[in-house]
Amino acid sequence: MRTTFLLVLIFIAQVVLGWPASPGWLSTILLPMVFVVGPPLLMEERRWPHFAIALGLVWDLLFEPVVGPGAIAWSAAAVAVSAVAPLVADRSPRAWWAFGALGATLMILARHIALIPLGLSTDLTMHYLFFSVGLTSLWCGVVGWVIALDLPSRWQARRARKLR
Amino acid sequence: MTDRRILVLRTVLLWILLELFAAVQVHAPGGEPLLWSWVRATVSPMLWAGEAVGSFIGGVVTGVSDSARLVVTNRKLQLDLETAEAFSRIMAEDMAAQLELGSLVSMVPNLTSTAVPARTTFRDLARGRMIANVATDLRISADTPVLASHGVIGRVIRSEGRRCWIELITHPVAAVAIQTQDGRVQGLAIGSDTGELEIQFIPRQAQLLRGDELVTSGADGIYPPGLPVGRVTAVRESANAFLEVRAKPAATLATARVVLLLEGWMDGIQSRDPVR
Repeated sequence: MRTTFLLVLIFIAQVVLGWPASPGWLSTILLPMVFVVGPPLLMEERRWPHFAIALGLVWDLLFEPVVGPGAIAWSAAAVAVSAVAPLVADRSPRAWWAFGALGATLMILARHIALIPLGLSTDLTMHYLFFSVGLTSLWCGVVGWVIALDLPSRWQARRARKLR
Repeated sequence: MTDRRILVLRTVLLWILLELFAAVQVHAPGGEPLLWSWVRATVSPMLWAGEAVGSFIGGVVTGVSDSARLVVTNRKLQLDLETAEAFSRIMAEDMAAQLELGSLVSMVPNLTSTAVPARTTFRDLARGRMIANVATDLRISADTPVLASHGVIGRVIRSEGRRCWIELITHPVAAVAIQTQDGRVQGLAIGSDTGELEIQFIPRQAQLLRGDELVTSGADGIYPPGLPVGRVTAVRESANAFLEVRAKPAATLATARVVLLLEGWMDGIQSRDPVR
């Protein structure tokens, strides 16, 4: 339930980032990438790539001209991150940042490749790729840093100290 | 297969399905779904390959049937060729016969207009018999002299329809009055079982040598004089009053194709006979 709530929240935020009034570079951030990077780093179950397909389908419904390529792209990123994450012991924000970059790169490339046969692909510029990958990895790094802070534990510790 | 591989495999299958699902939503420039153009692009080569295979098989079948027809035609042509070769042989035979006939005609200077050419159809040299066919249904008189190339071969003993039975000069009972070219030696050529001629009644003092040519003398009343009969092959003295002479027939009896029947030659002579 919490995941669903977060997902809805993330997608709303993604829609907001893409509003015409907002700066153009904001829409290049792939906010749902945290749901691709998070589960492998948090040691959750391996069926997560299938969930990434559902995530991609929602992405397609909201942002893509056809349903399908987004699901492929997001699940491709999830499969890759799931495959590489067990090989790395680091679970720090830096790992979130790195896996965010990996997932974003794969998502953008897979989406572009999936759109080519449909005749819907647009020019993929290196500028866009670096910009999107950089911002998305930063976003994932921030999320990882927040998780690493473990705010609920700190809050509880602080309340315990005050009560004493 | 490990769980990870199964997961990847399923994911890849899902990607394919998703791509196909996306293709259904996209329309090609013609207005039809893109998936149909993909299907057509996938199926077309197979159809083309199928058509090519069908065309190839059809070509093979046509080729086989054409080959069969060619074999039949070839066989027919071979038969035609054999027939043509047979006709060619017949024509060559006819040509040779014509040449023989020409030599025969040149051999008899005073050939009467009643001389009849005939074609030999059967020969039995051992029995001294020959059968010749004339061109038309013409009755040939008995004892008509018969000439082949190079000389006399015999006389007609029977004629029926177009067929003439000829008694060769080599027949044991056949006899031809002969003489040498200069006419100083005369005798009688008798047939024998050996295929040679026995020259009888040659006096011991006669000057006859081996190789001398013998011609008809006309004394027998059958053969006109001057026709080649044979060539002396052996001259021996004997106990009786005459020489023992043997001669080889001048005419090649074994290969004679065309003969000339001197029908009515006597009539021509008799008409010119001043006594008559």
